Amino acid sequence: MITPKTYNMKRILGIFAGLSLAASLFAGGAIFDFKDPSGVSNLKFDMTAPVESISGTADGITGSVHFDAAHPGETKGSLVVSTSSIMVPKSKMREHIMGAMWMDAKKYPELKFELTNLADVKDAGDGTFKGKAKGVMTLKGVAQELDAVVTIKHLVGKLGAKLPGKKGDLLVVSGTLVVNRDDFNINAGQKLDKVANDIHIALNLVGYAEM
Amino acid sequence: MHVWVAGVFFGCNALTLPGVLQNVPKTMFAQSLRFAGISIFMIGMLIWLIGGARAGFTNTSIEHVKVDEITGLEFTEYEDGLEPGIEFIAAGFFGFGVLVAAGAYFENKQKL
Repeated sequence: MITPKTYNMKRILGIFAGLSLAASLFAGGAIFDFKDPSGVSNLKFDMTAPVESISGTADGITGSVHFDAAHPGETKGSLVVSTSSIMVPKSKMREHIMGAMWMDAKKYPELKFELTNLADVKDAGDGTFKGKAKGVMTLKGVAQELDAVVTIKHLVGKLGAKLPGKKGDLLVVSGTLVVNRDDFNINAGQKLDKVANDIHIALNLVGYAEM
Repeated sequence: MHVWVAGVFFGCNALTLPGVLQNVPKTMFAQSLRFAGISIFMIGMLIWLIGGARAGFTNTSIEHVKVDEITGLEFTEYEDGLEPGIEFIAAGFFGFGVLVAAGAYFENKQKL
């Protein structure tokens, strides 16, 4: 449920993220577009319950992130995932997931992660940074602060390898986070024997920045 | 013989098709039911084994996990197809149980 407090927090963070992205145009670094025309970007989710393990993917990812290799801690942006892009290998199960009890794709067509900063950043060398992505996840109308353990790899001048004829960089983001379905009102407290409460999400994302 | 085969296939007996199967010996009918039960179980098991002997439930799409050479990221592509799951064993076992029980029923009925 959206409480006035979470709604305000979401609005403030949204404005903050927008202003930050605008400000970053005048600073160093680049804005990476995470709409991946090659179809590689995806989220992989895994839920292990006593009766059944459910796993699937979502690839309808858009959004943009500002990244500056000189200041990786100031990485900011937002990522949006289309609910209808969630895919599981069982057609009936997918129908259930899209239904009102679970993800309610009609009412909530997307889920969003507002990245506010990168904490505990460690430079692993070769353009790779490890850290904790801090931000707010909005899912089924509920906004909640979440952390994701991420590895960011800045591939300088590699855009042409993905999009021939174009010059620029790639930003590869991989990581993990855990979302609790009770927290986001995803059929909260129900069918826990078949559908685990913790949703383990693996991030496999690539952003494009044309220079 | 063809009437007997029809009886096995359609799960019928002399009571449901009066006159048609009256001449089929009941022990033979019971045996054929058992045979059909075992066959159904074997077919279910065979489909599951050929389909990859997966521990989970049946999939209606086949996943292909690939790795992007440039980014090193893992991604999944889906293809329409059937991957039989444990329901096939369960259905085979259920069919086996029903037909064996029916066979025993007819056999006992004959003894009485």
